[in-house]
Amino acid sequence: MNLLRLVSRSITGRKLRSALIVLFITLLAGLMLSSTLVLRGMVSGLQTGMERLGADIIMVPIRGWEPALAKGALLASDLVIGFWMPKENLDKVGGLEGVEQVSPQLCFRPPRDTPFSSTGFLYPVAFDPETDFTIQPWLAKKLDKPLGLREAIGGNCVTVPPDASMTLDGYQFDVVGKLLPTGMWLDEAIFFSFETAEAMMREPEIGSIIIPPDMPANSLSVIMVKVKNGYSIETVAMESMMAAPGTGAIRCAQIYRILYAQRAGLLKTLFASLGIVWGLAIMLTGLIFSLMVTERQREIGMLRAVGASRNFIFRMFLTESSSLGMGGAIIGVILGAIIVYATKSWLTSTLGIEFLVPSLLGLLALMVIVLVAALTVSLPALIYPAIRASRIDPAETLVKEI
Amino acid sequence: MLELQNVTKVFKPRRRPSVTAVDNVSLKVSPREFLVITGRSGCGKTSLLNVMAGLARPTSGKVFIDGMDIWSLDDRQLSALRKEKIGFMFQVPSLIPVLNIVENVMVPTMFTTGRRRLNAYDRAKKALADVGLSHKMESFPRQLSGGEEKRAIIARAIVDEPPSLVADEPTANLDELTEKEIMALLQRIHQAGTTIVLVTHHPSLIGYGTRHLTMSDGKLPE
Repeated sequence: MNLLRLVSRSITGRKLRSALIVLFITLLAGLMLSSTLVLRGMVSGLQTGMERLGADIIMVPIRGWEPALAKGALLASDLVIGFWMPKENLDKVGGLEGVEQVSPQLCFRPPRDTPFSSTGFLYPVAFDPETDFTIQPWLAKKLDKPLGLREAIGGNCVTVPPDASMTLDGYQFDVVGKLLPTGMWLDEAIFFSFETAEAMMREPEIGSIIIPPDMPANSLSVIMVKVKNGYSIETVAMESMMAAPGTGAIRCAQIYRILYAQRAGLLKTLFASLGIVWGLAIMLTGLIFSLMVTERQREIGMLRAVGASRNFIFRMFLTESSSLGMGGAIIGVILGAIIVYATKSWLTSTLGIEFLVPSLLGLLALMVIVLVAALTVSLPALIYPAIRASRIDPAETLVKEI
Repeated sequence: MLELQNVTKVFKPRRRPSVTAVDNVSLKVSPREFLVITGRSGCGKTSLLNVMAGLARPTSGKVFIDGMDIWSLDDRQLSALRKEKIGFMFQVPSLIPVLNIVENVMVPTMFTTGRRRLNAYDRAKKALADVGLSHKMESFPRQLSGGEEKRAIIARAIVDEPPSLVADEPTANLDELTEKEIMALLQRIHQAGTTIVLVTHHPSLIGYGTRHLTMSDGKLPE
């Protein structure tokens, strides 16, 4: 018989109480990890998106400008569906002195509930692979050859069939590449060349699901603009709007600030809620373990009488409460991670937030950090009852009434 | 072996008048003595026992075990002294419900040092055999009768063969026959060389001891 055996018998001999404590801490640790994953993923998605965006300015039709800014959609894709600008705007903006590079995109209507996307949404977008600098940098693996007719690149959420062939609104694509996770709408998009788009629009059997009936010929939805080093983005934006009347120039840094501000509010609310929940949880945990000490006063008195020192009593209760806490925390972080990974698509589509999940190594590191943080924060709740137990007067506990 | 010098124990409960449970008691218990202390409920018998055994610090006075002033020791030393010198039989149920009987009897051996710790299970088995509970080793406290529970508590008290045993109302809530069995067991332990100090409010137990004292209102006349 030793301390560990006594502790293990105490835990297993009070199954219901032990299970309830473990469950309680599991829920807390799981909540801590899952909310941390989501919050960090939201910030990571934004940061990564901005780092790899490539564009300094996004030109959109003026009628799509305000909605795009208001909602802070980074590439303003689905919000400029139904608004177009003439193709010649590309040369007008591209010819400006401060512009290093331009690349066009044409956005089609997204079919809903498509089986080819894990979120149910799929944004078809035509782009120019030769001038593109915003989509292909996200490719998981560089293409062997330029994108050809009927070939497409899928976003990270696009479900590619085994034969890499998918039919969208009656038109067949061969998916030849996939993007890395971006945390943005690109994850739910499929990209093909303008050549493919034109061929698609000539097909008589193509339905009107993805092609708006009033889409004019030779039109664009978006022009991505990279500004030369040394030139003011603000100045180039103004010049672009003057060169291409009827357009608006969205500064990407502005969008990032809007998006971050939107998410910052959510982040603050979530952090505050998490803090309150954790504060209450620690108090409740301390209360539960304190009640455990009260319930076992006679046991403590008997142990002291047969030779246990205060230090032994302290270690016994600390070991027991830490074991339950650690067990619950480990189960909680594992379950929290599984739930976030399993429901990422649901979270994205239901809550309207996009976030990046970390790599496996990053996830393991985060789990360890959350585990250590959870145990550290709950240390007072674990130590106080153990101190209380060690200070119990054995003589007082060994009388008839307690 | 056990000596109290002018020991007083006063309890000061909150918002109530203080209570002098032990009032200037001086007492010597010789080795191999079986001292029975009687008195009505509330006269201070349990408090006297707790002070004697080093579980409760006296308000004034000194307590000596084998010539050592026990309240000059720190908590670790005092716990070790209790472990080495005194076995306990408490008035209240004190078996740990989640441990079986042999594990309960082994609890004091957790604080034994050296080679004696290695054969703790064997010593627990022997102690249970001595009290006639070999057949209940794997049982749990809830499965024992009142008499069996007392036997198990005695086994726990003697597992490390302490020179002294203090028993607080060892036959409380037992029927007459079981009471006689428990007292016979204690007599056998005493005859094997253990000093016993027993407190009870049953005058019928006086005859089992080698000396009798009556406690009244915290006082114990020599």
